[in-house]
Amino acid sequence: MRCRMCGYETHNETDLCDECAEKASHSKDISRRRFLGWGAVTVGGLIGIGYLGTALRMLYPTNVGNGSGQQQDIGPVAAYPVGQYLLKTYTGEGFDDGVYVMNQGNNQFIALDFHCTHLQCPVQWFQSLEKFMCPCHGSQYNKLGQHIAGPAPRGLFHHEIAVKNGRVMLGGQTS
Amino acid sequence: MSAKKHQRQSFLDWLDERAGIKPFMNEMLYHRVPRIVNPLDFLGLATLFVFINQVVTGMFLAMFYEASSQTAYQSIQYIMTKVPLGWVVRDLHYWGANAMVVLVAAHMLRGFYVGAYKKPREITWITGVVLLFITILFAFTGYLLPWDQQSYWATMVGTWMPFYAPFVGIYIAYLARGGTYISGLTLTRFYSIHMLVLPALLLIFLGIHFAMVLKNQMLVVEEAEKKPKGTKGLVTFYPYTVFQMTMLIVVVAMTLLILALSSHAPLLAPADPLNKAHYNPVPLWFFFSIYQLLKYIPAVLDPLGIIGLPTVAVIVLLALPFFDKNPRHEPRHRPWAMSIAGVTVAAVVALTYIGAMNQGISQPGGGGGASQVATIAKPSFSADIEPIFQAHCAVCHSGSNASAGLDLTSYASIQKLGIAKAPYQQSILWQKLTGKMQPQMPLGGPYLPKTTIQTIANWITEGAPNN
Repeated sequence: MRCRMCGYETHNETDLCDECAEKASHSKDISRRRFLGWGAVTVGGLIGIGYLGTALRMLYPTNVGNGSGQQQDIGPVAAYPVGQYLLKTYTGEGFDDGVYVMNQGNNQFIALDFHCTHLQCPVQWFQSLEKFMCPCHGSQYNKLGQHIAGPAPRGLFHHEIAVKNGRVMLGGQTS
Repeated sequence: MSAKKHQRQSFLDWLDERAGIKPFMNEMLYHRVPRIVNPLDFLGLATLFVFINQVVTGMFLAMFYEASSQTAYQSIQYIMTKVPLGWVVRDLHYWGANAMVVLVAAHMLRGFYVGAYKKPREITWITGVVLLFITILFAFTGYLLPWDQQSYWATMVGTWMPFYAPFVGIYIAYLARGGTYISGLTLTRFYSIHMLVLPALLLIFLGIHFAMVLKNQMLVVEEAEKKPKGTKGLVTFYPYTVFQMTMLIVVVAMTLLILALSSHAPLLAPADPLNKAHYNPVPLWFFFSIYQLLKYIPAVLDPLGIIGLPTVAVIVLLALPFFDKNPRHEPRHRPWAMSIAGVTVAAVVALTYIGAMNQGISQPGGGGGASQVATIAKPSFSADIEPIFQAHCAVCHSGSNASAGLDLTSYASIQKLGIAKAPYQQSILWQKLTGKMQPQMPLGGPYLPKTTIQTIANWITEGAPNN
């Protein structure tokens, strides 16, 4: 067996040779060895955590869920017949998102994200049934995007929507 | 000794003096093995070969592929149509990826069957399990790269699955996507993970896996080595086993090539975040089992199916060598381990099969679309009609939550609602499929080809028999 302090062969049953065992009885030497050992581990660990933290901060998107917060012009109010859903594009941070927009009359609009809340398949609006239906697992939502059937855990996500100067302004996802 | 042989010998001596390779080479080449090795014991080698195929073809694909949402799809098209032999290389990579998943799983099942996870091979097993997950991540990240409808929507669904994990779920989903939804940012990070992160991880774990196999020997070798010298049926590894291994590699390589030449990797329409063509998302085939399971369990249990079960599976696989302490290797002395594993494998295979049927998969790799098929004059319910319903209608019209209370996977339900009464022109089934009665089915399309609808009409004319 090798002595763990000097590295030379020893025939002792412990992992210390006689000489080093003698040295080790002076506790100062043991604590220095321990310090160096743990020091190396700690420094290595800190460097590793530093890289990992940097990577996570860099990779985690800065603006999720609520979108960019910017309002996007999606055309004049007149382009939206009352009571009919139209599929529009909302451009977020690098992505395009489908949003069903409906004119409820009196400058009131409703905007629903078209990703099913179950596993984010694209839902489709069926005017004749007045329902949104998902092709993946059959989730269904009513005209207001409320969940009525299937495995989805909640209703469709809403987007901010408002009318400014006769133009429909579509914003990010709210809830 | 001829001059040439002498030259070779002196080179080996020169090398041995510096690298000390002789004892290692002797051990490697001349250990005793059975003359006939069960081909299943070569599954690891087959996997290794396919992995090398992935590395080589991947390197060349990367020289033409452009990872951006604007150019990825066109660069794949360019590889397939303009680059000489580009289509072969892409098909080899595609079929290699599928083969990797199959071979790694088979290799693991074989290791389980012969009890190769038991002492002293625990580390081989654990690194093997890690390699299985790395393989799945390879397949998942690689799937997005063509940036077509199939890859875009499968990744949309796949990256949302962590959402069902407690506390950290939504963060993992956004981290994987690099945003709220799939975008060019997802593509570049998947590309980097596929090309840099996973290969590095794989080499680390493969190194350990391989070193442990060399150190502890394979089970079959260990048993052969224990036998006394001169036992019949034992030979040296080189050249006998080496020859068998070469033959196996020839078989695997030929299989890959035949697959690549006969069936092409799919490339659907370019990814459309607005899904204007109403493409129905289809998961990767090795997720079919989970996908299908989700249809059977109530919605409140979804987190269990999506997160719980896979997590339990991972833990069980990793910890297997530590809680299965039965020292026996032979399957007949491990009734519990064999039964539990048998039931699990049967369930996964069955769910995968049913899942595949429900996707309307008409060709390997899947397109999910309705294929043009000939009309059948006297169709049988079980052989002709039910598969159509399974593939195109069962997503909504099956199970306890079936739309309109109609379960098209059950003959009784079809009878009860009387939707298939002759003459076919007056049956609700035919009217719905043709659009005579709105809304036309399958809801949102793609609608069934005329030939298929005529098959159903013929069945109704025959009296809609349950045959």
